[in-house]
Amino acid sequence: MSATRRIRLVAIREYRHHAKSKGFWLMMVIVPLVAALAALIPQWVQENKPTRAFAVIDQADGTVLAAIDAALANDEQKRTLAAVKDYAAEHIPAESIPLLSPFAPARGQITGDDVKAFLAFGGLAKVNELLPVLARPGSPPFVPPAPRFARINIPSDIDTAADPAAIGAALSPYLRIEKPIEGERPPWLTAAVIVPADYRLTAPTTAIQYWSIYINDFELESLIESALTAEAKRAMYREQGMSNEAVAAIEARRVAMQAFNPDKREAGGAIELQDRLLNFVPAALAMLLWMSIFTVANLLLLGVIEERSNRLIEVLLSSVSAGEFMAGKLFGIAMIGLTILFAWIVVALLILANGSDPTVQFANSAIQLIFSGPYIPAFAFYFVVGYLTIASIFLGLGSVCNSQQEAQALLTPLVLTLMLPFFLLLPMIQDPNGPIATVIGWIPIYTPFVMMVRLSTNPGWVELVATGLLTLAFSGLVVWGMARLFKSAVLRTGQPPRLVEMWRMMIRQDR
Amino acid sequence: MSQSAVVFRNVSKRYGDFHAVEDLSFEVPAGGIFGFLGPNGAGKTTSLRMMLGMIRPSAGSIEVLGQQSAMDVRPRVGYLPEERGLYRRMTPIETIVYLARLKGMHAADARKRGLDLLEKFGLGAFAKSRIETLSKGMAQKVQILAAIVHAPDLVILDEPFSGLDPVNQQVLEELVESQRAEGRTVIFSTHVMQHAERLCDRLLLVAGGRSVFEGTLEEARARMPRIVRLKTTADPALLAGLPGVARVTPGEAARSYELTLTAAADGEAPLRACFERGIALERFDMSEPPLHDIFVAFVGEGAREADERRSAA
Repeated sequence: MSATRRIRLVAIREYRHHAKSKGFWLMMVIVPLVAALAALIPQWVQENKPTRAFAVIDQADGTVLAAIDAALANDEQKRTLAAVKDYAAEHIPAESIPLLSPFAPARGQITGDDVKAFLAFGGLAKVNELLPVLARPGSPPFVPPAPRFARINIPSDIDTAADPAAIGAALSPYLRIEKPIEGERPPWLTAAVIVPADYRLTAPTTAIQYWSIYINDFELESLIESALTAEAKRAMYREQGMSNEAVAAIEARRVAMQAFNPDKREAGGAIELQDRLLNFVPAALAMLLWMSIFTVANLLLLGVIEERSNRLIEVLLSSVSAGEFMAGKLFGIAMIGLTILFAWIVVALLILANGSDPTVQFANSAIQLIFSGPYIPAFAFYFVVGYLTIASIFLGLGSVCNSQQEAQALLTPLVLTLMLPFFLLLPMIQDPNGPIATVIGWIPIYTPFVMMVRLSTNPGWVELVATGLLTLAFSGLVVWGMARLFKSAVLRTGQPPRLVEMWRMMIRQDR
Repeated sequence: MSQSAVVFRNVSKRYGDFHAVEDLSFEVPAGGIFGFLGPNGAGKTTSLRMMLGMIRPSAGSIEVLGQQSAMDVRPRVGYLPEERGLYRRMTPIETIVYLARLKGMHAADARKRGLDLLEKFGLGAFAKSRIETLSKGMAQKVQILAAIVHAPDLVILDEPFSGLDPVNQQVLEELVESQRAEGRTVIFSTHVMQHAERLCDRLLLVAGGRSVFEGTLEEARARMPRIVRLKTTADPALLAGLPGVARVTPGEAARSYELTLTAAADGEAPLRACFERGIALERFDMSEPPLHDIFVAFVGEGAREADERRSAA
């Protein structure tokens, strides 16, 4: 019987053994599911946040209160308009969209002008009349979003003329959600804005006070702050003698800035939001590479510990050589890794294909990008070298350990070292050809992950080939050393050898 | 090419300064049962691993089924290691088929023969149960069957009886005998002498990594001093004067003595002399020394020598 057949038999057993385990199926489904949930949950939470109540005590001239009310109304209109746009994209046939054109239903950032156009068109009332007529049959009815914030009245037991600090203290049981405000909807106060009596928007001598227990929720605070800043500027322009029209023109002024990328051939190299998002695709591929390799390398480690601790290894090594056995395991588990990877990609595509319009568009562009660039051959190459390096290290270390605990002690420092590129992922994405990414790209054990990230910026063929050859040679060296360690150590019993002994086993074959 | 199943020629195995096996030479004739006996740490498992080609000797040469390495004749060798273990989530039949296929059997043949063996050894109903649901004894049987499923010419069993209850030990003895009946060579290591005594055609006794005896049980006995055990009320000084008696030592029971005979003497001379000299005997026993005694005698001596060598080194 040939060595190839024995390797194949070991590989098939490994594959079948793991493919039948619950962990394998969980791994295939749970990872994309968790990733999808991680992406969707914050969005869902954001969209389904209940309306939060707040109160304003304006001891000054009421300008602040009026500005806050106007900002709230504007915010609500913007959100309604965004919801109408989403609804239109999903449920209204493309040919009917122009009927809503007066308020620009195309997607994109909503400006003040869009809101004005929307209101001029008739606002929510008009839309509520039109949408049921235009929507495809069977579409759900349009439901406008609930307002994010509602300004409610101050509790009647609060002395609004008191010192702001005293008002804050008096509001404390309401702000701590211990006491509802009778007769108000919603009745639970999440924040209170206190405008001191001497406060003037254009010439403040003191600050507006914002009271809340939710110190990390900046939504309302920043909404009010930016609305009041804009209002203060408007007032100051007017004080300078400018007309309302001139102020409006200044406010509407936006500096157009177009970014270009010399690597982009389409559209004269102009960068769109999608291009920026696509920049993360190689990094995502590197993450995928890393996750899939580590997931399966761990299976390899656990497998060899089992075979060693129950001495099954002796029976196996009476039928196959240590080298054949190691090769079979590496190959079988690599197939498991590729199956998991394939499943993740399929599940991810299914999730993306069922997403809303921009997600599908992005997915299509990402797929186009992956297929158009060197990503697939690069991914295959880096998977092979990365897997061989890391999996054989895990296999070698597994061959000296009797239990998972022993393996953990050896692996923890190693895994932390191997994780280094991921602590540096953001600087590398921002500057893929910078000193950090360039230097780390030359360290063979990191090359597969770092060069995957750097691929998007064309690091140059010389560097790609040279780092590729270096990591390939390093991978060969690691597999060779670990095979020798495996041969020497796998039949040993007792405590795991010290690092020095392991080194000796690798360089001096004594089995 | 040798007619022997296994030949060890001056084989040594060293791990650093430790000599696990030292200058070991022996031959295992093809066919029959060969006992590989020795105390714990005598180098039995290391020798068997070298025999299997799992580890290389530091010096000397090994021939297995006419080849320089067992790796070249793997499909013709079956092995049961001392410590047992199987994949917990595989079934007995899957395990047997997998190990048989690694030995070169076709899947269908391996499955058929595996099921036959499981049935024959009372595990037919558990063929498709996970190993983790079987008792330790059952799992051990599965591993023994996996070692012989491919009908190997040479079966190497390392301490095969350990961990088995008396009923299963009997079953295993029958299995080992059946292998011999089918013309195979069985080598098994043990330190339980009763099995070796009943089964082995030839023996190798090792101590401290060295051979202290190789041959048949009869040859071993012939090299042991003969001992007569008797019980008498007579003066022990009279016993020392009996013909052919080299030494008299008190036995465990009261008035009992062990007479160590000279090499040339037979047991009849002292018995005749007792009658002639009026020494009243309550008991006279001259049975063959059991293997246990032979083992203790040879191995004790071998171990002492090994200790001396080590301390001299």
